[in-house]
Amino acid sequence: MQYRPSKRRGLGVLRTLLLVMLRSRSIITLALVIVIPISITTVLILGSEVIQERVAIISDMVKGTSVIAYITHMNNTKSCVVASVTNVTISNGEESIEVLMMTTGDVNKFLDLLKVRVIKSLGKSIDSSLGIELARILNLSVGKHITVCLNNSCMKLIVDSIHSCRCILDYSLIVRSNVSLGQTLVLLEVPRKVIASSILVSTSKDLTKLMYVLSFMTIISYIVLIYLGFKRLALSIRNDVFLIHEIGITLRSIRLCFAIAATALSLILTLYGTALGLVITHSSIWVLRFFNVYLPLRPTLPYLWLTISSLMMTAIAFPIGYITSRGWEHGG
Amino acid sequence: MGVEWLILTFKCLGLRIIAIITTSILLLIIALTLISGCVMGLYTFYDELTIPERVKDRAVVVMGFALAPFTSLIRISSIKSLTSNISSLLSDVGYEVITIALIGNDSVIVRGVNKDFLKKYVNYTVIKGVDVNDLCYVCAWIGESLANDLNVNVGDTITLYSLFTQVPITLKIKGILRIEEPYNYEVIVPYKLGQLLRGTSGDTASIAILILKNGVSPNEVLSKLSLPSSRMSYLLERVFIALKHLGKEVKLSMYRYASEVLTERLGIPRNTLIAITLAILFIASIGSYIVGLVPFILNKEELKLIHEQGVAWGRIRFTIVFIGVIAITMTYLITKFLVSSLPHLINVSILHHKLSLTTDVSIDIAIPVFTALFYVLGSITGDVIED
Repeated sequence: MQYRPSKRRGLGVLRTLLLVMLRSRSIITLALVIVIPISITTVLILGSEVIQERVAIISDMVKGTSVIAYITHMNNTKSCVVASVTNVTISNGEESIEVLMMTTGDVNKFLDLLKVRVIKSLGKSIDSSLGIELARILNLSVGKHITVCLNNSCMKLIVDSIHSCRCILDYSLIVRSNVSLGQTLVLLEVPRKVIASSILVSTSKDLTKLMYVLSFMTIISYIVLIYLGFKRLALSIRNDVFLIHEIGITLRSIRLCFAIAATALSLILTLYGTALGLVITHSSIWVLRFFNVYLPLRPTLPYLWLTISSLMMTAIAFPIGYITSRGWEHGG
Repeated sequence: MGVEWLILTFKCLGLRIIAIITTSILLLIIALTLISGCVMGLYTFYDELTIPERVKDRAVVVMGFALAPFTSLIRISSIKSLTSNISSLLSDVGYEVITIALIGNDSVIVRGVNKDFLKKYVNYTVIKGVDVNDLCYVCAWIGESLANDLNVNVGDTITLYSLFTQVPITLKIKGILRIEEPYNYEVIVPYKLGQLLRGTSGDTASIAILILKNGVSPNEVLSKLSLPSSRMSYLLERVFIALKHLGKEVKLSMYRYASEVLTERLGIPRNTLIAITLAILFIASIGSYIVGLVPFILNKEELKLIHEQGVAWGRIRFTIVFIGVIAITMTYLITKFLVSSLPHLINVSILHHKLSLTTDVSIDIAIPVFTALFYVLGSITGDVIED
């Protein structure tokens, strides 16, 4: 007479199956098909961690300040300057050129914030300042008149000052106005590493994405092999399974226990593969010193990846374990 | 018995086993090709950035001895004195300024170019807006792919931040270009504006592209510059010359790849990188050992039966090896075809540039050889004896 095992008896079957599986020679095959892809993916994920750690180190090394512009409107505090940016055509009467015009309530504060040097000016308070390169192209100097045209409406301005910064503002016109023309920007001084970090993080994200894509691909390419590893294991222990069956446990229950045991084994092998990947990566970083590359990095595996790989292995191992043991019901 | 044993073994194995072997090997070879292709693609990423597609077979690129084209800086006067002796071999010299800038939360490559050079050597059409103009200091043009990625259009204003400038740069998109790689994934600005973004001015560039006259080989250029051309394995190969400024002296070094300059700076030779890739491929291909065991796992009873009918185990194993080798060859050729016709098979971008899968001869050989090696090992050691 066959019956479903009690909870205690079920645990006994599970323990017996685990012992039988561990004693089987086929466990080596299973270990290979799980440990290899997991250690490769661990190395890839740790590679992306190395990149991120390098980014943090490089960003920290960037000194000085930069001006950052927020497009959304903020409260005007002492440290920030509100400006608007638009394209205008300026003319000296003979030549005209399309340039960037910045309008702000306080030109002096704007120039101070952006560390722009005033080369010539009519007075201390500046109403309109022309970039040095623009002045050279249009052959203009302080006190001269220019015509500024925006959307077919033109006005005349006197150039109050000429500024220089070896930056884009050398080709721009800055005008005092409280009227916002074009796009409004809130300019704020920030440590330069904020921008450096944004650029590097954005680039490193691309590399991290690549590493994750390659990791998933490696595991997917091994799914059929994992199935074969389980199949071999299931076949190698079938005599022991029949013995358990003969003492009255249903094959369905044994199959379920096999799937659970296979999942547990897979998780252990996943941890083993992860540890192996960690050792390989850290050893590789150490070996790099012989090529004169010193990386003061100790990458750690993100918990997220550990969770993903464990969940993925459970999702793969349990159904495969159950399917591969199907042969027992047909005597194979 | 003739070849009856072969037919018998084939029949015994059946289509199911052949299909499982082929599928497993196909998946494994695709993974190996993609992994190695991506590693090598990352390695040669800078090469793709430096030479326009249209002149890639007749150009020599000169760059600074820097980590990347974005940090490279060369003096145009140095290039002019360098090329004065070889002017008879050159049809033109173009200069470009390349830098990374941030637009919103995205890092993009901004390239400062001269309109004339672009018109002469780069295939492009303006699909929206106006053509590139050297004299506009507030204008930017954008490659169609990048415009789609960033969702910007003609007339939009973009604010760029560069590592090399302290102030944000606000530019107006004047045109969207359908332009060849690598420009398709970049923001194109007039040369002067590119210099401002790179935080430089006057007599400087990131790279110089020496366009060779028809019929002139890079070897001739190298020999005239007293550089060893022994590393050039064949004509019309890509050549990069790096300028090292040692005090007041300028030293020239020749490289086959722009990325070799980077690896020389970091101290990892190209051969080491290939060796690491080969090691990864070797470990990853161990999986094919299990594929070699497939008939012994899934068709154990049938194999026993034909053995009892008189087919020697050696012949059975030979048939399994034969099937595997054919499957490896076929799947490898299919994968190569797939990769060569779809170089952007993996949709991964770096700085909005689609990563191209590239390869190396040693890796091309290693993938089928390693896979076959472990498969044969599995087929030879596989047995039907139960534990």
